[in-house]
Amino acid sequence: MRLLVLLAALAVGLHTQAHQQKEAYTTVLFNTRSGNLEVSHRFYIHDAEHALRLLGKPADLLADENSRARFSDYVRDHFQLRDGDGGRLALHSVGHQVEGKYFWVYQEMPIPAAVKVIQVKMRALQEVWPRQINHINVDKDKRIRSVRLSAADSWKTLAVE
Amino acid sequence: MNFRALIAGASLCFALGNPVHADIVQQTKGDFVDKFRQLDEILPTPNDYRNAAGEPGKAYWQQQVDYRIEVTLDENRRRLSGTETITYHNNSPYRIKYLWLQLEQNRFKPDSAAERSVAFGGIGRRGPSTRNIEDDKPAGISLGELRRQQYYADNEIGYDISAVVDASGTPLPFTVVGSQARIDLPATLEPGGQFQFRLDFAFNILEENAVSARSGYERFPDDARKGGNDVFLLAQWFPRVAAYSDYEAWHNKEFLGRGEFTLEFGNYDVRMTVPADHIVASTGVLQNPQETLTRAQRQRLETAKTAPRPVFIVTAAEALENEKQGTRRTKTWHFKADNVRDFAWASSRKFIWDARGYTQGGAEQPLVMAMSYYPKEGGDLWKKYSTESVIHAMEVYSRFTFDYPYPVSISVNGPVGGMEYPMITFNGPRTTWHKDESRTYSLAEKRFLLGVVIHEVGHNYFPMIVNSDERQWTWMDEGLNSYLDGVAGREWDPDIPWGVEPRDVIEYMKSDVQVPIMTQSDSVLKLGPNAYAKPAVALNILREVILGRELFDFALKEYAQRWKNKRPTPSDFFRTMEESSGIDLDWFWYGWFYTTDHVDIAIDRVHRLRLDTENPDIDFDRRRQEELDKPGSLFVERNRAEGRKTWVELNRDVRDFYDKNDRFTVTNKERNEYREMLEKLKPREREALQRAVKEDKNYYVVDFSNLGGLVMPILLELTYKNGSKEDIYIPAEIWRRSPHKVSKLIVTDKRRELVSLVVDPGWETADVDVENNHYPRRIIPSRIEAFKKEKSKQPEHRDIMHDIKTEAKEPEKEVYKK
Repeated sequence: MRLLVLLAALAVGLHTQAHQQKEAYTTVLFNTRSGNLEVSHRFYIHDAEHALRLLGKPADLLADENSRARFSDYVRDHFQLRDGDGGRLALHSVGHQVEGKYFWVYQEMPIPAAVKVIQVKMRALQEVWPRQINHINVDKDKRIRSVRLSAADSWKTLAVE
Repeated sequence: MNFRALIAGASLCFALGNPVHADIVQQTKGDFVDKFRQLDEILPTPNDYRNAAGEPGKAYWQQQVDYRIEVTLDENRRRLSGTETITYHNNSPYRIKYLWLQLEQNRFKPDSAAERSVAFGGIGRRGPSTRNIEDDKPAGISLGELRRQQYYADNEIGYDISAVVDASGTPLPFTVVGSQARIDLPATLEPGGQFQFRLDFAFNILEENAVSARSGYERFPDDARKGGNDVFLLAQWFPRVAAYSDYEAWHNKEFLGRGEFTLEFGNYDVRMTVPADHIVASTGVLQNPQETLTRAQRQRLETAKTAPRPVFIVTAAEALENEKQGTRRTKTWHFKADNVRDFAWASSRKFIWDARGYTQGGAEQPLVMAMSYYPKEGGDLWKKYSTESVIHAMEVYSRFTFDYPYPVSISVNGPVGGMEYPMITFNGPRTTWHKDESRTYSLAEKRFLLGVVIHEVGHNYFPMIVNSDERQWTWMDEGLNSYLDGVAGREWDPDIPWGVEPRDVIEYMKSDVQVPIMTQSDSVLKLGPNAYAKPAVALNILREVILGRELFDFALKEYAQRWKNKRPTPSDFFRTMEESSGIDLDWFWYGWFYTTDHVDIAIDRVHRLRLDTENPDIDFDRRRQEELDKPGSLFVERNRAEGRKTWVELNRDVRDFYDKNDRFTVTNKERNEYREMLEKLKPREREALQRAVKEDKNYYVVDFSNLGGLVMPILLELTYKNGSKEDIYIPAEIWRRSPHKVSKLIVTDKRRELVSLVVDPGWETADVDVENNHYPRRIIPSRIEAFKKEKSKQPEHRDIMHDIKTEAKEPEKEVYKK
């Protein structure tokens, strides 16, 4: 029998926000100019701050760099890329940024050689609320391939040839 | 879905169909796409109920349902029980044999279609989460989901309906179908007839934080009172008669949890019996203030009517004192509300209550009482901003629609993040408690409060008054309301990032996983961008880019006023906006609402042209100059550099006619032809040519591509050599015969030479690729490149002299208190 484990403790109530969007966008850009695979994650500050609190952390994303760093770490921990053979693509952190109503988290790595497909997994906020959808756009040579990752999804594969 | 709706659905699928199928917009032969095809085949045929202008037709009708309800809140058992007398008015031209009821509390029963269809580790309902088995991790379940499951195990959920009887007390046949029920009438209800029946019901109130039901109770275990206190939010709390309309007959599509509600308008007379120390906030007007409020509270309410700032009816100190102990006594609050489509209320002994009269003037409702009810956990955030933002929302929305027609507008803080009902809204943002007993809130939380209150109060207009069907078309209320909350927000403080700018939907619109806006609510894949952001952006663009504010505002107001207290469909909205603005918008509705195309207009090339004078003495010389302007032969240049002499240079004694006259030499032959040509021109043609020659303007032909598929106006910014700029608006209709590529001639004065062009320089059209908007092309840094550049400047801003004095310390132990 497989294990059933507890997800991150949500000790406090869940506020359902009729206008809370519960969505995030990640762009994986093959930037041939810089030679880097650039990953930008976009979250609503609204969602991010509430999620941090539900995860038991104090959160003030606009005023507090610790909150920003914490959420940024959280996002990076919940996002993974693999090549077609299942080899992990090791992204490193570039930083994070508040811009208007959004919180951005940035990662990058050199574009891997001869990559034909890319596997992606994005779990951020799905343990907090199951309606969270993480939308991934992979942008190579201006051609967009997309996948919507819901709580039910594990790895998804996208062709990038 | 009835047969008629099925036909409409089928034609829609046809219109949007896969390109391999024959399609009215894109045929199987050739690549022409009729982006401007009129929507006649897609929209339902106009009729006497809904006419071709998008107005209620000459035979428009809607049903009316009146409710008289007496209900008791059992605080200890967290159970509501009551009896309702429903009067159904059949205003339709049809005979009715049965009534359908909505039993939304049954949606939360463990055996409901909604609960049974929730996938493990999947999406499907509000509330806590689960995670399916993954390659590297076992399946997961959250504490929230455990709490929900345990709550389900410990509580009976759903309605207990103990009696359904007609006016004479005779039981009526009653068939429960999931979260709906059918009542068979003893006799057919004729057009114009009425039917009255009584229904006794009870249910255990859901714990909102365990179940996520848009309503329910919230526990406050830390209060001084033994066992703590609750805030009760009651919505979808009484069995309600389903809507019956001309276009769908019974709206008996089961509640699955996402597609919200639509009901009939009616008059409500409701008595709630609650613990005597509770304060009740409700849809409607309180009928018995003498019995429910103290003299001081009544006086304060009177003062609040004309006060410049909110007045406390129950102060924070009074509420704190009140929540310290309970009572066994009860009190009955009596409210009445006329012509509303639903009824919700809240009750708690924790409530602080403030109010301020909003003098909106007009004949219908000159004074509206704006009021807020919140526990101490709402704190200063609510004291300062809730009631004020309620009033701001009404001020702005009314300007764009109609006067707010109700006597009260209420904002209540409880466990629901944001939800709307007639006259009353539930809003979640709160302060945070600290160990020194202080309460603060972040700037983000303040913005959430302002945003959510404006948004939910705005829902009074759409869909509570303009009664669109949320279960079918979420965008009709959320899209319009998101557009308007952006308008109201920017008028509150434009420095706060409000609403939805066109650039906000680019990531969504360029992706290849979408459904059109015109998709039934429960089937929409991504409700946020699909029902809120994309339609709001579309309306924003329609106003700011396509129609202009004057035409758009006139048309939207016309729509709101036509359908005030009536039931519009999407086609009524599309037709009204087009008919009252006088602009053909079928292409816009088709592209934005019926397809998943996006905007990406590129400038491919610019050709600079000069008008020939036809005068050989001028034109031949120009050709000679053009030839001279071309780079010479590298071969010849290098020969010259090597000092190599040509035969011609070495043999200067050998010369002929062609050494003196090049191929651009003009002869009388050309001059005679020119004169002859001038002679043959009609006087006005000759004048035109002479004027054009004299003016010698610059002619530019600009080639555009429509890469995204969505046709849009081309907003072109021209930059001239002298640094001046000019904006040119090319209407979307330029694409009507050539939807993929078009060229446009731009003529400028001789001295105004173009150096660059940009499409949509202000990012107003949601164009997904900015790089191809520029000519000549320019490098647009990626987001990360731009961030790195900005970041490199950042360390200077740190105050290291101050920060260096920071003492190292151990993190403090976490203490949690609500």
